[in-house]
Order: sequence, then C-alpha cells, then structure tokens
Amino acid sequence: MFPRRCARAGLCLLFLSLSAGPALSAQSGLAYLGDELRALQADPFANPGLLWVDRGEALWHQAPPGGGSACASCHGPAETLAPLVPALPRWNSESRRLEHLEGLIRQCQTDQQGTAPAPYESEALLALTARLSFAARGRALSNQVAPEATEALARGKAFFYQQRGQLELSCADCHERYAGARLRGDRVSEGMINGFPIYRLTWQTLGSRHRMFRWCNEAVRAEPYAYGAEPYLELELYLRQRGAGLPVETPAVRR
Amino acid sequence: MGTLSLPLRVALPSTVAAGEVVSLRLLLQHPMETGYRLGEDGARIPRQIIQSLRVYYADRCLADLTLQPAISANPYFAFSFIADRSGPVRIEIQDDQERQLTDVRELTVVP
Repeated sequence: MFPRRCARAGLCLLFLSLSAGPALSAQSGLAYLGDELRALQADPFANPGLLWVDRGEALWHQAPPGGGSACASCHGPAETLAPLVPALPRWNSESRRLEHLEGLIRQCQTDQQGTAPAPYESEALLALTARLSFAARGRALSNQVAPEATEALARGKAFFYQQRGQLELSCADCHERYAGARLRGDRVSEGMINGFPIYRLTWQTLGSRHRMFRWCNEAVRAEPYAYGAEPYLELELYLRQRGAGLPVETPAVRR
Repeated sequence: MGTLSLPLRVALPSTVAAGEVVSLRLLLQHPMETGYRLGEDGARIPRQIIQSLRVYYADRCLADLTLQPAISANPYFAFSFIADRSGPVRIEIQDDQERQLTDVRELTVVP
C-alpha cells in the first residue's frame, strides 16, 4: 500500500507544480486546444466531422429499408429538432427513465420506422447524432432538470466525484482540480460535453459522449459501462447541467 | 475494376477570372487502415488504403499522388493552380482493391 500511495502522491505533486489552477467559469474543450486544431474545427470545409454531418443529412432524408418513412417526412428539416438537442439527456415521465439523443433516435427507428435500431457507435447513428447536434450549433446547453430527475442528477454528480479504477481517480480529479494542467503532451480539459459527437484525433473518427466516458473509464483502469447504460445517462445529465450555457459546437475536433 | 463509394467533400469555385490562382480542396472519409494493427481478437486487420489520387484539369494532369499507409484516416488534400481556360476538373481516386471513384466538377473561366 505504502509505495503505491507514494507513487500517487508523486503524480499529484507533478500535477500541482504545473497546475493552472481551477477555472473561473465553464470553458469548452476548445479553450484547451492549440491554434491548429481550433482552426481545423472552425474550418467549414476541412473539419473532418462534417463528413458525418453530410452523411447524416443524406440519411435524414432517406427512407429506411423495409418501407418505413424517412426521418424528414415526419420531422421536416433536421433544424426543427435543434431546440431539443441542448436539453438532452432529459427525463421521460412515461418510461420514468432518462433519454439521450442516441436513445431517442434508436427508439424512433424501432417504434416509428419499423427497423432494427442502429447499433451504438455505428456510422449511421454517429451521422444522425452529428447532423442533429450540428443543427443545434451555437445554442446554449440547458440547465433545466425535471423535478423527477433530481435523484438521477445527484447520482450523476456522485459518479463524477467517485474515485474509480486501479488508479483511483475520479472524473473531478482531472477535469476539475487539474483542468488546464499538462498530462504528458496533453492539456487536461474540463470534460465538457458541448462538442459531441467529436472528431477525436486519437480515434481518427467520430465518437459519442458514451464512447468518451468508456475511454476515460478504461484510462483509469476501471471497467467501463455499456453504451446507453443508466450511470452514463446520469453522468451525461450532470455534465449537461455542469456545462450549462456553453454553446453546442458539434462537430468539435479534439485530440 | 470496381466502384469505390466514399463520402467526399470537394471545394472548388465554379467561376473564376482568367489567370486567377484557384484552390482545390478535398476531404475524404476513409479508414486508411495500415495493415499493421491487430484487432481485438489478435488477428491482423487487413490493409485498406487509398493508393492513388490523380487530379486532371482540362485534360492536363495537375497532380498524381501515390499514397502510403502512414497517411492518416480521412485524409485532406489541397492544391492550387492557375486557371487559364474553362474545362472539367476531374478527381480520380483508387484504393488498394482496385476500386475507383471519379468526381468531375466544371470550372468556368471568364476573361
């Protein structure tokens, strides 16, 4: 036990010496990027995430196999759903569960389009979430939480502060206490979720919020939860509220 | 030779003044799988890359590129050239399975 504690203390000292201190207000991950990546995200042509936005736009107007109707035939242009995106995840009072964008799309595919739901992290689901979130670009993340979701929000917050994994690190350890500090070649962000799905250079592809949660959990050597799992929905709800006011900037480019 | 179907973004103005420097930008969605990585089952993921990219302008070859596995996924290319006459800009992309994608844009040059 003792040597391990020592090692952790050493790691913390290293962090401390380089720490930029706590941020005064919520900052998008964009603020922690270098100039090149900021320019890439801002480029209306070369941002690689736009490839998925394009594909999402095509899928939005395309009837699914099996004779169901296209998304656009009920919802109209993707922009009509723009007000919904910054308010997700939200509480569904019928199912008495939280629902997020991926879940809503998959539910619509099953109930309304009569097709098998697109698997999590499939190109189709990423493209549709990217297209809808892109439509909500610039809208501020909402801090509205239904009274019924108060407990879920509290659990999400507890998840954020819970130490986990072999490294015994909580989300807050990195993304709150040491946001802005350097972790190897990288700058630790505040863990905001306003840019998702993000084009992540590490993945060389687009990824969802839950993929990022899973990646982070694995990075501290904790067992990740499944895509769409309750703890991740609760965490997503807490992070949405934590970053309330930040503009949606999908598709964000991150390292 | 099969057909290659890829999401491709092309930025090229449709009308330019004669003698103007035109920029052509390309972004394509492709995994550019190196062939060196192992999958979760420990088996080698087969190589899958774009092997050649050619750009023609009014039947002249502007660029002829041979791509290697070290190029990242979803590659981006930018070219510039001097517009001296109207004509098609043709982009030819071929992957290592000999599948081909051709995209043609008309460029109109006004004197």
